Amino acid sequence: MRRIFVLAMVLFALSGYAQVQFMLPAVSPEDVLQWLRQSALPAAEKAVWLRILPQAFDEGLVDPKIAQAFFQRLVGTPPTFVGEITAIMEELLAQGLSVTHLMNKVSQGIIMGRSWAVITNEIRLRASVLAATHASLSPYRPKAEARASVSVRVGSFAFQARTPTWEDVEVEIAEAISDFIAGGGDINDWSGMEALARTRLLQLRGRGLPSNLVDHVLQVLTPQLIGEIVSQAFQIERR
Amino acid sequence: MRFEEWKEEELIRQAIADEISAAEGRLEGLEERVIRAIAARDLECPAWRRWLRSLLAPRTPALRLSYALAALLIFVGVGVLIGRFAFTPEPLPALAQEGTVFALAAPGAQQVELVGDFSAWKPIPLADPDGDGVWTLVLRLPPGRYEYAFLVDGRWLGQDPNADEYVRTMGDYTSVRYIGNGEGSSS
Repeated sequence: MRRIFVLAMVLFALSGYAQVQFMLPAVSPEDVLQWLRQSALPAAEKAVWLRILPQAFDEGLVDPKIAQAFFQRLVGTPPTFVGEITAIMEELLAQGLSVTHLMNKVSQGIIMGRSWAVITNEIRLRASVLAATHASLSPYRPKAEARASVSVRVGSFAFQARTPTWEDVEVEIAEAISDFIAGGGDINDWSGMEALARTRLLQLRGRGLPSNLVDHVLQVLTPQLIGEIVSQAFQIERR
Repeated sequence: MRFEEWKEEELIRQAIADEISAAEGRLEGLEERVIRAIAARDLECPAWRRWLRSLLAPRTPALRLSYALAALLIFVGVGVLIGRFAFTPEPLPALAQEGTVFALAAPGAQQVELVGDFSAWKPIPLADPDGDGVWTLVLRLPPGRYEYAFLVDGRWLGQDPNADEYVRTMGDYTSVRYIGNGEGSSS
């Protein structure tokens, strides 16, 4: 009787929550390339991706799992949309910049049901800000940086865990600025953007971004530096 | 008062007095007879009923200080335990030891899903096993910053009350959670 009671309590507790150990299924770069070859994406864009992706995977600029989902969502979208998105990302990859978060942003826009023009404009904005952030922060890049990558398997799922790098810091700053602008913030409010970026970096310090890199960039992050990034991104003359 | 009326009243009083004096003999030992009758009836009752009756019978409690103190201690102890484990509102993430709880009150919804950058915006269904309209899901996510939203019957719901912050993207809100113990903020 007691055993039945204990079992019932355990089952009750378990049924309270649907708990999921969440990891996207492991996808290798070769899986993505294989899928891409057989996909119904426009031939021209498919050729571009098949050309640039292997190196992007090697350099860690594209996450295979995110890329797989991105390409799956692109299938069936208008060829002009695929062309514009591909061109934006090709340019970023040529500069050695990560596009994983932008692939994710495209997937988000599609699931939100936004128009192709809205998604394209959003991606273009974020790409411009990322390129400008990279350029403006390059003089401050630390000379030595720890890099490591390890594959972790949990049950039937696996993911690639790697040490966050300076590029990840750049992406977070760029995304904070982009979020500020995309959210309707004043493009000239550099202090507001700097405060948002600083808050985000502090939140991520030690839980997503290495403390030493965050501390390093916070020393140089000023409203003036943000102003430089924004001016460069939108090709406007600085005040 | 007229003489006839007075006479009539006197007769009634006399009749009542006669009745009482005639019944006096029968009233003698009435109490004993009643007790015996009750006792005899009790013996016919099943044991459990007698026990129950004795339990519920009114009595004068004899209060002992040691018992009273013990009862007080138990009462306070149980109260503290109940208060601690049943009524203290715990933050949702604390409920799942290592996971992050995503919960949404959506009574009447047929389907609630979670989409986020951690799943490449692929929907993950939430569950409402007890049918109370609160849909839940626990995910174990590596430390970091995550953007997400709920899809309630396919409709975008980007402002989760349990989110750490919101961002506005492509004309709508998206919720944000920071997972893990950061070193740069108090949260």
